[in-house]
Amino acid sequence: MLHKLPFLTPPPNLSQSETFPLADSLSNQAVIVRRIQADSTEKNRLAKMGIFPGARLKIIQQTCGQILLQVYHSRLALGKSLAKQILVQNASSSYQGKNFMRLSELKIGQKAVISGYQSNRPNILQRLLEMGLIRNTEVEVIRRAPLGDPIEIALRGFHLSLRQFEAELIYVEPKETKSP
Amino acid sequence: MSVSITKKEAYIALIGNPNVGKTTLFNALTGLQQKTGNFAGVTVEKKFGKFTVEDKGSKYHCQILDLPGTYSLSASAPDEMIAIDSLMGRWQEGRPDLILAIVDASNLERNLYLISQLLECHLPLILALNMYDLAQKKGIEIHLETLAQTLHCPVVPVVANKRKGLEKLRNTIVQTLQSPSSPPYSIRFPENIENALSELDEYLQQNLNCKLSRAEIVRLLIDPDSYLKQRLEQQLDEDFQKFWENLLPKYQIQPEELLTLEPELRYQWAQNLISQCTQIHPQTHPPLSEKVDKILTHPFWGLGVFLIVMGLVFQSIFQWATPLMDWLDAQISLLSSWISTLLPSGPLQSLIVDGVIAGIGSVIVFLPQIVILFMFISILEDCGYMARAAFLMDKLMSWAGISGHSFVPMLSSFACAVPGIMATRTIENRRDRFTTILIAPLMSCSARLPVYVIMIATFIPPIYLWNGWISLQSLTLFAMYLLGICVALPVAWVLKKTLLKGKTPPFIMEMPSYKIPDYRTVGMQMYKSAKSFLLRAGSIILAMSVLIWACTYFPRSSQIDQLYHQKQIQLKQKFHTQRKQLLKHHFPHLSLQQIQTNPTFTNLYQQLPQPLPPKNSTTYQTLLNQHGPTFSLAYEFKQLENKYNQKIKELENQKNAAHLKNSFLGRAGQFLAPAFQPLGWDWKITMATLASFPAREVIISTLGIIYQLGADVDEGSQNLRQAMQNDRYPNGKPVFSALVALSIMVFFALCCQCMATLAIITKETGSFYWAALAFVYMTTLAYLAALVVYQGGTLWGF
Repeated sequence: MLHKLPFLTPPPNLSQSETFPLADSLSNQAVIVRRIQADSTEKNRLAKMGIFPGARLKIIQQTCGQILLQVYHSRLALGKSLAKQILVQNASSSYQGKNFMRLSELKIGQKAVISGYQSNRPNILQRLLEMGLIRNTEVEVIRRAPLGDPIEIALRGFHLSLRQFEAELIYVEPKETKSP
Repeated sequence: MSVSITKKEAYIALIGNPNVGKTTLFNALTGLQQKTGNFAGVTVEKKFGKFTVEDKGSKYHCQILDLPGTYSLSASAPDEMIAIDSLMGRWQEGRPDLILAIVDASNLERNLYLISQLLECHLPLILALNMYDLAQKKGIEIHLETLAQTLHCPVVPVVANKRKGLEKLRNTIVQTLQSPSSPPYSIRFPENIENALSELDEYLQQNLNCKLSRAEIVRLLIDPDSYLKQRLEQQLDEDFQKFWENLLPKYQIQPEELLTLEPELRYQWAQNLISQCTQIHPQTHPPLSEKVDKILTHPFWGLGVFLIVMGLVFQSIFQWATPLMDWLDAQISLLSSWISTLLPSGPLQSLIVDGVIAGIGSVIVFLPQIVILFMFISILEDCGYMARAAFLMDKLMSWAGISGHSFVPMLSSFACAVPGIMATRTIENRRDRFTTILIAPLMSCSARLPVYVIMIATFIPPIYLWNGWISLQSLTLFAMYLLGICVALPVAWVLKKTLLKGKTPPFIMEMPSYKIPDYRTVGMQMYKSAKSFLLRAGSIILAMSVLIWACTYFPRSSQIDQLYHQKQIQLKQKFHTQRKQLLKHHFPHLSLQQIQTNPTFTNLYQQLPQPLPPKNSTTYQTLLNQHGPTFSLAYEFKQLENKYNQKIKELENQKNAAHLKNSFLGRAGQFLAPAFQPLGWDWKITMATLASFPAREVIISTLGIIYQLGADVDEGSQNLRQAMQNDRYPNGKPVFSALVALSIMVFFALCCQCMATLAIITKETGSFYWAALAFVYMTTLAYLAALVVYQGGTLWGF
């Protein structure tokens, strides 16, 4: 039953592994956001900064009042009180050793299978899904434009070009490449 | 025995993914029986075509609507609603009688996604499998009957660009129209979602007095920021909001789950269908497309090819169109001089020659550029290169907040903004398209070049910098071109943050396979672009030319006419007496009449070489020896006549200048002069700028009139350059300086003094508002920039 699959990537053992407040994390720890216990405006504000269920964060430094984070490419500081409302999970344990990454991080010629999405941009996500970028679809990065963006991928027998920023919304599990 | 033929009307909607040959099929079915309009409120072109189908006693007049290419019916913006609104009959045409869905047979899976949504529209459906030959070549074997049986709708293989399968398609259309039946839905959602859908359906039926189709209900429930919901919220009360908020929790549905579920179910259905109906015979050699793409999107070679292709496109509209434009120009001047001889001089002649014919001339002069550009665009689009160009240039254009699709329109705008703005039709996203339309006129077009050339050549000193490598003049010209680009970036950014605000649309673009462009599609595109420009923008341009003409012609002061008439008479009398004196000097006993009827003299007089040989030349001496005093007289008469003609022409020029100064436009120029004084301009420059509203290059001929040199001066005219250099204010200060020239150039680089551009903006955006906006923002920018240049330059001591 397709529809019973959980929506977000790192997946199956959501309930088993432990979640803890972001405020309790350590410097240099990589975590995945699981739940945000804040009101909807606060949630929206966080989502705009890239903090939403499923997002990967890296803690750069814990100071007394603030916590310095790396959220994908950008860095930001968060107040401790807010950080207490964000429940996270250890990234390494939730990935269970599997090599998850974003579609945007694949190398040219690399093949991967789509495993999940980031859900903070539902409009864009819907367009991607409609074009066939659904879970368990095999994609291959064909090339990058000369200025690095956009990228061209092949899937389902046709080619698609999408911007780096859109490719970041898709989590993939790279396929083992056989050495020639 | 006669067979009675029943004639019926039918309305068909043609829909399909982009790049599947939808327009080619549309053209193939309808030929030239097409007309275009606009979808109200969303400024998307609405293309209708007509054709008739016939079968045993019934004849159908079909009206077919070519819907914009789409991958899905989901909609979160008004322009995405076009497809579903058309299918549901929300426009004046009502509901279509059937949907003609075109799919790419060589890429069925993704195409079936849309089909699966179309099956929920409660409408008869015909599936046209286009590019059937390509699919066979790829080794895809489709069992048509199985497909038709599973879908419960007719399936017709066609090859639209080779006009194959059309007869069968027409027959199928008749049969479907005769016994319409809508096929069943393709997918069922899980129980809880189906329950939510039916509760929503019931609620809307009770509160809205109309039944929505399943397609609409599904869109309403699933689409994030569904535009349908926004629309319903306006029609329904707060109760709907409450109902809505409870709906998903009641059935334990997560919005994210819903979002991913629909595509997964539909693709699962498509995969099942394909596994039942097709067989793939693997091909050994990779498709040609991939080999070609290895070169065309290669970081080095790809850019090289790209530069060559774009250089070719630019060259063709910048340079190759020129002979054609000059030829058209010459024909127009021929026509106007011919009409001038037919009509007595006066307001009517001026209206027809300087107003109407000049207006028509300024319309058709754009045709070569438009037709050539659209030839290239449709070739590039049809063969699939356009997507690659957008791919290569996307990053560059994204700095201005627009996408790679804007590159070709922007490039074309360096030749002329009119075809450039027309080329924005290839941009799907409305906000990107409007941004591009609004910044395209900032690119320095070829009409600005004459202004730059005369100002630079006259006032920028020919100094060489860096050991003679770079001249200050060419640096200035380059700076003018750069200025437009540099201003366009922040303008685009501001537009995207204010008037054209909205979520960044995804740049998800299919890279279609390469194919040989279809000459019929290309020809049709060229024809349609020319037609739509002439019919829609042409009328605005013509009306505006007549209006501008009236502003420069009226009020016609009889005082000026009389004054110059008297001056003419005085001149004529003076001429007469001078001739008499000359005659007296050479032949005291003869009268003017006698000498003018003397055949030897008249012969000699008429055969005098023009221009006259100087007195110390051998020609003069031989002729003098040959004919004696008769020749001397003829020579001096001719000299006098030349001088007289010159004087008359000067008078005429003075009169025109006086009329222009007195006209509404001249008065406006003098009235507005104080406003332009901070830019370093006098009333003459102000007026010439106002007069150049129809087109920038008009400033030169207007300056020609003002400086009493006549209107037929061009940027190379030495007289005009001298007149400009010598012009002084009453206090002896020169009117023009390098700084004033720079201020004029900067103004012209940024202003929107081009009514053809304004007309085409009005037409392409479907509203006068955007043209007014372009004019106001560009003129304001131009004024401010010129102000900064002049005042800043003055402060720096230039």
